[in-house]
Amino acid sequence: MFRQMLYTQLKWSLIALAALVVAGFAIPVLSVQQAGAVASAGSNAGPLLVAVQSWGVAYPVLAGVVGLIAALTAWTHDHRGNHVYALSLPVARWRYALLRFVAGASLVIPVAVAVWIGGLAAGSASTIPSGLHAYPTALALRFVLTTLVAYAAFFAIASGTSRTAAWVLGVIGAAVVIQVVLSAAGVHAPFLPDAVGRLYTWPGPFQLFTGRWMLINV
Amino acid sequence: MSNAIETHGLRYRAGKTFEIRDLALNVPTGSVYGFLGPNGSGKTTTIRLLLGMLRRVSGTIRVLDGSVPRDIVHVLARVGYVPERPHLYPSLTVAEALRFHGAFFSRWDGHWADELRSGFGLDQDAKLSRLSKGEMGKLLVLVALAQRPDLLILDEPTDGLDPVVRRDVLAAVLEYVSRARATVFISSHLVHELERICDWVGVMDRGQLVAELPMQTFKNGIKRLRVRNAPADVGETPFVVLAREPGNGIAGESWVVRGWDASMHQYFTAIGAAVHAVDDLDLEDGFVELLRASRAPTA
Amino acid sequence: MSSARVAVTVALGLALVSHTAPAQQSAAERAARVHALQVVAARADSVARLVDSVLRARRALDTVRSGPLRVIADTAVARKIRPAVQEVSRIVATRLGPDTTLLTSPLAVVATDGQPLAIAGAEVGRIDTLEHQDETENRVLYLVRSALFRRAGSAFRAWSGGSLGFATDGAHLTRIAYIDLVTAPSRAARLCRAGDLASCAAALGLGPDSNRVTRWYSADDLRTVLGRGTDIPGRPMSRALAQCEAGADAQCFALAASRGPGLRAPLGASARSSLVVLALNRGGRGAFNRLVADSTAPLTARLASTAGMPFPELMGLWRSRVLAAAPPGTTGATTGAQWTAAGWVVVLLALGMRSSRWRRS
Repeated sequence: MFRQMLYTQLKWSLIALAALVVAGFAIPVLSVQQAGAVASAGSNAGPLLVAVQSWGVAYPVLAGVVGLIAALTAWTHDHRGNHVYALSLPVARWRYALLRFVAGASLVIPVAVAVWIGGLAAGSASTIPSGLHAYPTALALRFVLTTLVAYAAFFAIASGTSRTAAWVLGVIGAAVVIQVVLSAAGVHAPFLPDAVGRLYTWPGPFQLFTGRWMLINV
Repeated sequence: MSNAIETHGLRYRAGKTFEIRDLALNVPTGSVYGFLGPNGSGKTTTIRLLLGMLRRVSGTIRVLDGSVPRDIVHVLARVGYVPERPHLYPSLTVAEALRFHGAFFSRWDGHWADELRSGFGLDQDAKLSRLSKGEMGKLLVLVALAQRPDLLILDEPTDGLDPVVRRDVLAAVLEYVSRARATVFISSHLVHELERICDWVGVMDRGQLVAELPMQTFKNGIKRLRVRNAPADVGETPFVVLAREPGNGIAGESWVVRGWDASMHQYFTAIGAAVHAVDDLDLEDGFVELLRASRAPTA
Repeated sequence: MSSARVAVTVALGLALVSHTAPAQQSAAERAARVHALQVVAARADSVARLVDSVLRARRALDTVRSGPLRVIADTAVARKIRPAVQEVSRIVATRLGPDTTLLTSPLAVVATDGQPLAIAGAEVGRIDTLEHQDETENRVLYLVRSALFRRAGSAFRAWSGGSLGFATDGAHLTRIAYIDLVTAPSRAARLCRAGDLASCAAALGLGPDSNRVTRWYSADDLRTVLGRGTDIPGRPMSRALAQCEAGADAQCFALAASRGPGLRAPLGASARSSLVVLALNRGGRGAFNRLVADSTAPLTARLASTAGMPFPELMGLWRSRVLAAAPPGTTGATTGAQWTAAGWVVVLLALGMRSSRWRRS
């Protein structure tokens, strides 16, 4: 059962997955190449680290894209058929969702491995100043967790019914309207920005997205 | 005789206008049950309720001795379902679709699936999105049969198919049924088709089951009578009067009745009327008269 | 001696004493110092008024007074920068204490709306008209810092290489100092990390000038340091550098020595600023006065006096603070954050698994 789930999701996402794997490998390599250029120009470690950090935004962006594509792949074909096929199969709904989730999560792994291999290759191919080290394994681990969080969030949203999606959108829309009205009335109550901010700080779900993503660090 | 499908007081509502009320289906085990009804009468909705895809408002549903939705997983493992519209993933090939489907059913017969596939002339490498309507229809039936189900639920399986494909599909179904003693629940608005293969019939109209009886009784039991001198008020009758239309004098009134028996001539004699002709109605005419009677406003 | 002269002499004496008074004073001494400071402030005011009167004939000027600050500016500009001057005055009083050397001579920061202005006997700085209050404050603060910085003396300026940064985030400087310390290709930096406080001072460019090259760098370090910025396309490398890179250690040291002041200490300006900020913070009230009191004294002694502790103790404190400023995680994700993320994956999965069976017909 799981093998067939994995096969179908792999088939549906093969092209996108290939592109993402290439991107996962390329980002650490390119970050070190640029950092290497900075180092050879005679700068010290500070600007070198800044150069590496400037590529750091690419990792969470890639993680978000991978998560989104994996989640959409998991549910799109069922959505198109209004879930008639999935519901006609002799498997409990929660188990079906779990199988889909694990199959999609498995597709995240190749991209994370590509990030790891890219980091290893970049770290070994470049001359890192003394005192700095390459951390491909820690970076890849953070990447896989970040991607899984993004995937799980998109998966949960995509698994809902149209009614659920309408409720969620309705709540968000109402919050936006209330915030706008309060702002227009001069009432200082930024609950919406605060709420969004909490998502990206500990213990919010997206905290791993923020902060520094450094392949090379002290 | 046990029933493969039983519903009691089943009620479902969708929106403000459509409702299934007090549905009491009884599909005998081992029968070929034809589920008749015009478009929009609730046939597909009923099937989806039976398969646990829609949530009932009230009432009970039992399929193959399992309660729906509580035992739905065990029920679906024994049910082969052919939906009204294709439900398989169109991006898969025929072979991939068969492998995917087979992975979920413990009774899947891969060899027989291959036999059916080549018998139906389906290319295993053809993508489902590229199949013709007839080929897709055959594939859906193939997939349902290869599960070796105890109950086949077919929702308009031959709709839109040419006669040759229809014949192939129905032949495969009947052959399986005869070998496996499975129950078939087939919904259609093609009355002639069901007439040949079904031994039970249920008629659905506007969300209600207006008739459920053996096919032979249904076919034989509906007659058109030419009646002369019948009083306006005939009181209680030994048969069901589906329709009564005034005649043109010589021919007399036209009565469409159900449950007619030759011995019932005496009834007309007793009320001072006379039956001068009894005509058989084919299933389609009988179906139409049945619907017309069910829709007529009650006095 | 007349009573007036006695009064002036006492006042001047008190003013002089204010520079060298220790941080801990009795209530009476504090009151006397306050009086002396008021006298000095009055003198600064009179100078400013003199400047005003001289120049007012030619330009419409105003003087913005707040705490120890006197700012002369065009009238329209003065209105704009008044809030900024008040805020800067508060910062200066908070960070350096009200009895800074600002009071010994006027600090006239000249603000102009495009037209430069020079006033004899006053510090001159230029502020262009700026839109935002924050920017104006930063600019005034920068000019005040620069003026204070100049009072610290040429030796200090040459060593620090930058401004005092008393309003700068000390923690940020310490983090940069950490990166410098662990990444600098320097023997002194490595020994400092290992615990040698004398090497810490050397890495910061403090201590005796003799043998500074060998105290700072090994031959391999010099190959890295001297080679930086020399690979200019079309320009051949010098023979000495080529020999150094080929393995001639003596050439490396000779080349380094020949650079003189051009060869910088291993740790950069931010690291040195972090030491100064630490000394000022530890020194408390009057710390800045002590820093600028004797511009001829050795820097180590001045820093120790500023901090109010022996120099080795200050060095040890700086080293421990810098090592403690290591980044929390090599990739910005702590173990706790990772476990939290894993927990969220489980929560979101559970939400996804609640996907409803029921769909519309």
